[in-house]
Amino acid sequence: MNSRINLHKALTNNASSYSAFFWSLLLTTATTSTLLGQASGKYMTRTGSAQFVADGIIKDDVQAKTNTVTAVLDLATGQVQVRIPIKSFVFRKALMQEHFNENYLESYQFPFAIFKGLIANWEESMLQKAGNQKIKFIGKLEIHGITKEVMELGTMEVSGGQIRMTTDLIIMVADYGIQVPPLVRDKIAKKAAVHVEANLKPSGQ
Amino acid sequence: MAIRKSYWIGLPLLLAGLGWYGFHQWNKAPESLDHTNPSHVLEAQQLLKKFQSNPTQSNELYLNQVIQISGTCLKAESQGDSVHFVYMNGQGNGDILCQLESKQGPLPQKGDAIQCKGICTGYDDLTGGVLMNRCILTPQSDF
Repeated sequence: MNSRINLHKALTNNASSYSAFFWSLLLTTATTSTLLGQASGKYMTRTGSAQFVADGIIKDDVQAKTNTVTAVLDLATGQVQVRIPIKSFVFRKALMQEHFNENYLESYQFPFAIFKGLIANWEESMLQKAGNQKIKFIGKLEIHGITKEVMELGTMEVSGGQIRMTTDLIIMVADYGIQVPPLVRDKIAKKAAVHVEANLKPSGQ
Repeated sequence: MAIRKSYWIGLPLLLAGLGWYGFHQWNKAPESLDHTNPSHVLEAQQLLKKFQSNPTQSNELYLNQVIQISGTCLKAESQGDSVHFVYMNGQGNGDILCQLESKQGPLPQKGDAIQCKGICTGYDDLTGGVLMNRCILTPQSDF
């Protein structure tokens, strides 16, 4: 509609209007090409990131990061699936990494943390909005073989043909049946702050 | 008297040694897989097929194990300066995603025959692909 008005004005006014029309057309094209007005299907990544910090009384760099997070977003329904391979978390200290995998998360038995849910406030029109948008994830989070209902806030940004989603959540260690040996129970954090980030591209790219 | 003297010298030395060992062990960074012998050596396509046909059995065999695979590079990409990925084998029906431990040189190109050693971190049934982490690209002659 705006383009039509611009066209009409451009045809009826003088040469300077032609210039204005040209620039407005260029601006409109540039804006819509970075958003996802025509997008459909699924967007996904296999190289999202997740990192957590779990400092207890021992302030000892209990933090780790992985860059092989899979995330899929269905644009029609707003459904989201995320899979985080536990063994892929890299710590600064080898012993910490070993304890995390073998004693706490038991990654040989439960290799993935899995979220299945949806963006509660999802609307397809969100794909046409620029800038950071607040979203709310609701669904089921499975860690260490235990599934809990969760509701977490996050952000979404559409830019350059990609959808960037982030969320920050607090995981209570006890909620997911993670056993901490009595000897160190008072020294190890009872919760972990987790940050997940994914740049989703059209599925198949 | 001499025994008591050696006791007072030896005990602190022993305690200091144990302390140093403990501190060293606690602060040791995860080791590179460079000199680790793989527990399984196989073709990338073979690994993919095994996981796709029987994920449970393949998990028992390969999950969290250091494995070495050889195959074709589908693509390689980087996130910034420190995170690098190589995708191996698979024709539209899953592939193997290898996150490199570090960039040891130029990343391989599409179609290159490559060999990769890393820790198998699982089969992702969302994408039908296998994940490998802390990977290093090894020379073909090692295979």
